[in-house]
Amino acid sequence: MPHTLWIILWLPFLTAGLIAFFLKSRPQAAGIVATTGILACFALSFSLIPVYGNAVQNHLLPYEFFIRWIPLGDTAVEFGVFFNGLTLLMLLIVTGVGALIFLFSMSYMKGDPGYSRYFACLSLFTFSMLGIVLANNLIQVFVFWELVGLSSYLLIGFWFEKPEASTAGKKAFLTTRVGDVGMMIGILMAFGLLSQNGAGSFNFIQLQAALPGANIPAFWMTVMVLCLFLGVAGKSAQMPLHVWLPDAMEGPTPVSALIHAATMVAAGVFLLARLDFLFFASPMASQIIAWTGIITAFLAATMAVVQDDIKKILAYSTLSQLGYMVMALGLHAAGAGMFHLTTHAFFKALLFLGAGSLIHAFHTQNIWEMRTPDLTRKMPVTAVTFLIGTLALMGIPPLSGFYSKEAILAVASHGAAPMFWLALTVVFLTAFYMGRLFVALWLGAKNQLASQRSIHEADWRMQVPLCVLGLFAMGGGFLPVTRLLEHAHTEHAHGPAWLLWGALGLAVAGFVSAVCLYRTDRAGLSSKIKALKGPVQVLKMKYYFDTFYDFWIAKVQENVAYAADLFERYVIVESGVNGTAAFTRFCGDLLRRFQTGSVQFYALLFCTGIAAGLAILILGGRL
Amino acid sequence: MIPATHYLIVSGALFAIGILGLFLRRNVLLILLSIELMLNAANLTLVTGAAVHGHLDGQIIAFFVMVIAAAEVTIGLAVTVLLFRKSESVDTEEITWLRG
Repeated sequence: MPHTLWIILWLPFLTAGLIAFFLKSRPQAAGIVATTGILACFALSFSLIPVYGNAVQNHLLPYEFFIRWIPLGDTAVEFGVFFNGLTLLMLLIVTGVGALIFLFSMSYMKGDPGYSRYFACLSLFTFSMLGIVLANNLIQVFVFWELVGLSSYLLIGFWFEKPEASTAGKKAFLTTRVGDVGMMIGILMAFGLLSQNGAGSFNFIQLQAALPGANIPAFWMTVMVLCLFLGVAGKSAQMPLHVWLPDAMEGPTPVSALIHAATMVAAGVFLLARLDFLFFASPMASQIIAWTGIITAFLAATMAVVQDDIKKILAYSTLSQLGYMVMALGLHAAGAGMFHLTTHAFFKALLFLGAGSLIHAFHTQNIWEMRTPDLTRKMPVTAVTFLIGTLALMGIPPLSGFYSKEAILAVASHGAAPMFWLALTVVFLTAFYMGRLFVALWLGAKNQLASQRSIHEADWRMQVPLCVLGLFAMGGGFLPVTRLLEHAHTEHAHGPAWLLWGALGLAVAGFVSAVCLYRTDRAGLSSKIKALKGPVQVLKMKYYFDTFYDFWIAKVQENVAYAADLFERYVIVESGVNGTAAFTRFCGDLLRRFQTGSVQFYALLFCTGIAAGLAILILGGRL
Repeated sequence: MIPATHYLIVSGALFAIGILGLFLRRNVLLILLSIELMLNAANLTLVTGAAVHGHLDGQIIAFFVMVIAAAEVTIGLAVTVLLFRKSESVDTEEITWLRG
């Protein structure tokens, strides 16, 4: 088994290297190599399913294999692989959804001058993501965490000649970096707090074993967990570090599907599940995590309502669903959270790829310009699969989203009451903004522009992933995800009896009200919206988060930096460094006077010195 | 017999003349000469001490001093020659290259 895991980890790295060094000028080959590589990874991951079954029966899990990487006194930073049900689940999601998106990209990115670079970056991303999934210790997680950030940066800014894209890349990189600093502090705190009992370690298994007897003060436990959570919030785009995700939509659409919907943003949720023993150790921190999640879910869902860009709508929707998952993890329901992560990976990747297919056909991202009366006839595959994704996201049975969302709502019903009501509101809002999207795409009035253009499906490489993801978005709810998670067996959260029908009713209500509201012609709509000018403005300005950050960075931080610069320039450099030099020079100037160059003066001093010395000794009675 | 005090007075006088010469003369050669004078004053003291105590150590050290003085004067004269070659002068007033 270690060999399989090692190969799964390093194969994408190998393909990335191959493309970077040998296939730069041969895009066709680059695409094939990268896609074959990840398909092989998926096949290997799939072959681990029976291995997992055997291991469970023989009680061999969690399994780990590692080498000592950096020795640190008694302990060491290790580099290794960790295998349990959670690993298997994530391996299958990352390589499976990844393989489909690689295939989709081969057609979507055709003709792009950076085709080879694209696949090299995508392979690098896969490598980094698998590194997080397979890591057996915190330092390795952190290393790959940063690598994921790097590949995300490279792919968001893939069209770097576009200023928006390169700015968005920088924004994503820097925002997640804020979280990662917290995460680094959290990792070191975890090590330090346990070191006091002589049990300091970065290894998951050892940490888990040492934690119950560690006797860490509750306050420091909470601080440590919240620091680690900051990293999670950065990567999984939770409030208030969520601002980078909508901007990250500047990257190519398959990238948005893979990185910013299905896998990378789920890394934070995955880490919460992987380190559940740490995160669950502080009830206070768990509460904060759950509230962060639900507030993110709610605010993001409201912002999605006013977006006109199809990818932005999906981005805010991703934020919202990630908020759900984080809330579930905050309420100690790793099973429900990971279940939703899995189904979300399917249907959100599907929606993004569908959006990619639409953008490919319409050459615009504005949903109102995609209005065409006969989308279903011209692009049957895209239309049908997109509809499946929409319904799955809204939580309509028997599609996958229904089951995972029910699980999460059942968990939320055991949380604080306002949290539960917010969670239900998000169900309504989700259905509402997806209904709005539905109206824009399917019920549009005849649009002159769109009907003139020849709208058609792309080739099979774009259709196959859509169909496969469509199947999983439909049937994903029946996958035995929770059986893969060891302690998830015990958590059988049951909501109130009316929850099932209530949530479904809310979803339908949201959808219907969106259809009724947006079905009318745009003139009538704009008069309705005018009545709501204030709230809409707030939503359009994204709750002024970006405005506030701009103000904070440009006005406050810049001035602090300026003051610090002045302090350094004048206090440290001028008085400190140059002051020392000036003092030395002054002393030197004084002492220089004695160096007359006259040999006899030296002789005089010399003799005087001896005479003085002798006098002291004699008068002191020592001679 | 001449008492030891007389020798010591002569020695002191010689040393004083030598040290004044060292401080006041400007000619390098004369400075070297003054140093020789001081060394010999020291020798005289040493020999006097040896005679007074009836011990040979003082005389032996006097011989060492002579040897060292010979070596010193050799180097001193060589330096003087080089100084003269370089600056056409053996006046210490003019040789002040090491002024800070």
